[in-house]
This record gives sequence, structure tokens and C-alpha cells, in this order.
Amino acid sequence: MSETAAAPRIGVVVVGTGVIANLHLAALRASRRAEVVRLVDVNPARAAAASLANGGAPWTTDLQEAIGDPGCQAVVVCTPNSTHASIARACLDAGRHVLMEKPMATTVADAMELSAGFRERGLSLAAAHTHRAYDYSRTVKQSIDEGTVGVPRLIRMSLLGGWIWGDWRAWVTRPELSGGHPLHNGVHLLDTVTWWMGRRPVAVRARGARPTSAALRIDDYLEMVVTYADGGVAVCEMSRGHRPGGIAQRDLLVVGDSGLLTMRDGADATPVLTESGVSAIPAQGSDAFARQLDAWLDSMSGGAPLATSVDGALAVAMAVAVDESIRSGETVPLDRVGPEALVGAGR
Amino acid sequence: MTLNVGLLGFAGFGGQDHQSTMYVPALQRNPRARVTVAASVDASDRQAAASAAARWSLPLAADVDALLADPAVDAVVVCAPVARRGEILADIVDRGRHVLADKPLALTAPEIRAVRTAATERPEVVVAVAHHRRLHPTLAPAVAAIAAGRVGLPWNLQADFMVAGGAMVPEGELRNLGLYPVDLTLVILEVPVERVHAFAVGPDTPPSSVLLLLDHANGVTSTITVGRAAPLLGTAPGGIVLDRYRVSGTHGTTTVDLARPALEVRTADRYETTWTGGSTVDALVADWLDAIEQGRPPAAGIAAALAVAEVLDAAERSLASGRPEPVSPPQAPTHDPKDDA
Repeated sequence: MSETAAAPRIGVVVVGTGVIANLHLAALRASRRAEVVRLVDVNPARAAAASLANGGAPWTTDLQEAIGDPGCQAVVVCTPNSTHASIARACLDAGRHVLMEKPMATTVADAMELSAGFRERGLSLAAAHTHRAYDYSRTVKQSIDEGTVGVPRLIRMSLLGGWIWGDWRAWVTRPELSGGHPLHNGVHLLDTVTWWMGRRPVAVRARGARPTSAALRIDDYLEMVVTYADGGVAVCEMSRGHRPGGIAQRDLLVVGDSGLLTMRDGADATPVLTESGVSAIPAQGSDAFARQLDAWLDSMSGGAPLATSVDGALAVAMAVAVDESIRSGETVPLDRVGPEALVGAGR
Repeated sequence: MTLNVGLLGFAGFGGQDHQSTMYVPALQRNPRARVTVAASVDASDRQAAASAAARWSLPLAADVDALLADPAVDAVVVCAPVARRGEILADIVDRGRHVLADKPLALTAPEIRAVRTAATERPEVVVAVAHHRRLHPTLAPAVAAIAAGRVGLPWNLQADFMVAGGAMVPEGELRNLGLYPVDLTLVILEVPVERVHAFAVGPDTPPSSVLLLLDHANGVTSTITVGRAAPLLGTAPGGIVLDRYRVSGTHGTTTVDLARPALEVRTADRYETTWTGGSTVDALVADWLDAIEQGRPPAAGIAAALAVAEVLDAAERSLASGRPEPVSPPQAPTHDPKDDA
């Protein structure tokens, strides 16, 4: 297939111009296959600022106006989690492809309805499970796929960070807006380890904690145990409550039938010791958001995104089960959370 | 002062003979101990006892009674068949001999309590149990720093303990290897365990690896992975490849890694890692001899063995039921404030 210089760029609307949108916008600016045709935000000041930072792209507070414009073929959604499903529905009705920031939706029913709806209309709904695009994650996946350590049996994935969400005003801290931490960030790990494990998740057992404040209504620390068909186990830790606040610790362990794979914290960074302590200089990685964008653009003409809407729905189901497990203190089988058709789909 | 040491039993989980592989070599290296006699416990370890006696030119006593009848035996290292350890150790303590017991001290908490009862009647007898990883030079300073509040109040611990290769133990790696990370988790936190949820890892029965989710008092949680992985280049069969404990506290985070290679040696056909300083088994023996000489408690004794067994007993129940199981009866706090300066 030849991509001639004359191939028209795909017109993309970006909805929600907060922190994560900047990363999508940078990838779009650098892309020769897509261009930003409109920015949408409920907050006009924020939209105007994003426009200024993105070559003066037109902005509006009116979603329908933006996605109804014939110049729009596709939409990247970076809004608070509770709005994802309704925005996706509007895009589906307007006949637009969607790249949805995680979580794809905040209920299993919404996730499944959207996944089916987009597929029926031949439109792409991709879940922005960006960890599938990061170098570390791809390297682990490649190593496992090559059979280096044999069938993975035990996986540990720990992402430990400090408090970054602002203060009591932050929407993430309100479960009615974020869906809670399992849906907000937990899905990254749940999706990544399932991708690595390559088998069907069966049940979830999770514990949460609120180290930053007992008054929080979400768990800023999550420990999520996923069990897989034939005895695989993944232990996922996602933290935004660790101290010191500048901590950024990533630790991976994969134990397979014939070997062991470890990626220690800081293994790919340069330590520097100064008067203010030890810190790390990260290595220059390849552009994960660009990779994710390219795969999504490919999926509009028959290719596959890095994470499909089925992957997105499965992650939602696992996150909902995590939430239930934290509250009950018991293991939650995934078939209690979603139908067999969904849960059997884990690749 | 040189201690005369008798060796009783050459058995353990599976085909283990820690007497021959660990304790005798360590005793031979320590000038404060003299191995004087050996005895098997029963027919199952008779052959191993005879081989050891021949190898180290030791007289072979007919049985435990004959071994203990020798007034020149000051202390005994016991590696009895696991099912008989509780009864044999209680007997030796009754008869006033200091003991170094192979781990586990006995298989279950009730059996360990019987040994404790005997020991209470004989407070002058030193009963040490071979939780030798406690003697790793990294551990004590790290525990002291944590106890001093270096990371604030610990609220979570994550541990991994993996050996590579070696023979799977038919009694299960939960009982065999699980003891080590559970012991160190309790040493590091000193917060009693209330509930255990255990998961088998992998398709084998008994499982080659196990995941333990522990709920402690004070809202503290810990998570332990433990097991036996495939043989790996650069690690002797059954050698330790992961032995680490990440402690998250209210004011900081630290990872105590006992298997971190201090020294790496690479040649065309070798890759080895090693720690600097002596082995933890050598340190265990030295600590035991010190405890006897100074009349002080050893690094790990009956209380340590009991605390671990209570957790492993609950873990075993959890593997069977598939649900979280309470530690029963509830654990006693292991930290004695009288020990604080």
C-alpha cells in the first residue's frame, strides 16, 4: 500500500485539553497522517490556551459542533472518566473513529455496548492503554513471546509514585468523576500484565490503602492480584501515595517455566547524586504516543490498534472486580462482573 | 571454651540432609565447636548417618538415648525426620541439652507449642532454630533503621523469595521455602499477622510457588511470593536468586535485598554472584555458640518458629479453602518493649 504525499490527513478532534491531552497533541503535531482540526473543552480558557500551544487550532466548548463538522473523521477523548461513555456514544452517532483515554468506560455495560456498537458500524474504537507502547513493556512482551523464559507463571508489576493529583479539587479524587483508582490507573497494569501473560484472566483479589489521607474517597495505593486460566498469577501495584513524593519506581518480575526476567527500578536510568540527594536521569525512549497514534490510524483502514475495544472492556471488567474485591475482602470471579463473551476474550 | 556437639538425625523435607550439607561443615569451620558423635533417628536416616560418620571419622551412637547418655555431649544439632521433630526436641530439652534445630523446628504450631512447654521448664537450655537468613549482614542494620523510624510507620511490605533449580520437596515449597520470607517479614515488621490468603502459582500440585497475602494488625499488609524456579545459569541447584523485602512507610520507602550481588564474577564459562563476608550458616552457628556461652537468647528461637508456623498453618488452610483464613489463635505481639533502649 503506498502512502502518497497526496493522501489526505485524517482530521482529528481532541476533546478535553488537560495534562494527558498534551501528549496526544504532541504526537498529532508530529504526524504526517493526521492533523488537529478542532479542540473541545468545557473550559474556554483552557481550550484557548491549548489552541495557542497547538498552532492556533480552532477551539470550541460545543462537542456536537466539533464532531459534526465534515472535517472531523476521528476523535481523541481525554476528559474525566465519567464522561467517556457519553462522548463515545456521541462520536458513534456522528460516525467518527475514537481513541479513548483509559478507562474506556466506567461500567462494564457501557464498555460492552460501545465495543459492539463501533464494531457493527465498522468504526475504530481504540483504548489508550499506552503502556503497551512504552519501550519497557514492548521489550518484556517480546522476550516472553520469543519463549525466553517459557510459559509465564508469576508476574509482578509495580508502579510506585507519589501524590500528583493536586488537592481536594482534583476530579480524580472524586469517585463519581473518576470511577475510582482501579478504573483510573489500575487498568494500565491489569491490561499490561494480561497482555504479557497471554491467557484468560479468571478472578481478581485486591487490597487498597489510603496512605495520603484516610479522608480520601479513593485508594491511592492499589494491590491487584489477577489469577489466570492454568494457574498464572499477576501481582500489580499501582501507587500515587508513596513517599517521598518524588518517588518514581518501576519494578518488574516475570517467572516462567524455564527462566526468570527482572527489570529493577532505575535499571534504565542514570543515577545522579547531588546536594539534594539521589535522583535519576531517564533514558530517551521512543515516542509511545506516536506509536499508539499510528496504530490507531492504521485501525481505521483494517489494521489493529495496540489495544482494541475488547481489551478496553476487559480492563474495565477487571477494574470493577478489583473495586468489589477491595470492599469485600474476597476473591471476585470475573464471570460475576462480565459475561463469558467478554471474559473469554482475553488474549 | 570449646563445646562438644552431637549430631542427631540426617533427615528433613524430601531428601534433605542439612546436617551433612550445612551444619557439619559450618561446625568444622568454627574452632569453638568440636563434633564428637553422630546418631540417626530411625531407619530412614540410618544410611546418611553412617556415611557422615565415615566421612568425618565420628563414632556412631546407636540411638538418641545413647547419644544423650554421653555426658561429654554439651549440645546437639537436630535434623530429625520432620514429623518427629516436636517430640524429639521436647525430649532433648527435657534432658538439659542445648539444641540447634534444623528448620522447621516442627511442622505445625501445636507441635512447636509442645517444645515451648518443655523449654519453659528448662530456661537455662538454649533452643536455636536455623532461620539462618536472619543472620545476613544486610538485615540487622536495615531492621534497626526501620525500627528507628527511618521510613516512618511501615504500612506495606512486598517480598520475593525464589530459589533456582534443585529438587522439589514433596511436602510442598510453602512449608519448605515459605518459612524464610515469612520469618523475615515478621522480623522486619514485628506486627502480628491476623489473616492469610494463599494462592498456588502454576499448574503443579503441590505448587512450586505460592503467593501469600497477609493482613497484619494496625492496617499493615504484606505480600510474599515464594517458590522454586527453573535452574538458572550462575546459581547452584537450590540456590537463592531472589530474597528481597520492600518496606513502604509513611515517610519513605526502602528495599532490603539480601540476594543483591555484591560481587559479580564472569568468565567465559561462569557467571557467579556472591556476598562479601561469611555464609549465613556460619553466622548461625557462631550465634548459637555465643548464646550458649553468654546465657542469652539466640537470633531465632522457639517464639520465632511458632510465629512462622502459625502463618504457614493458616496459609495451608487457605490453599485448601480458597479463601482468606484467620491466624488462629491470634498471634501474640512479638516485640517486647522491655527490649527498647
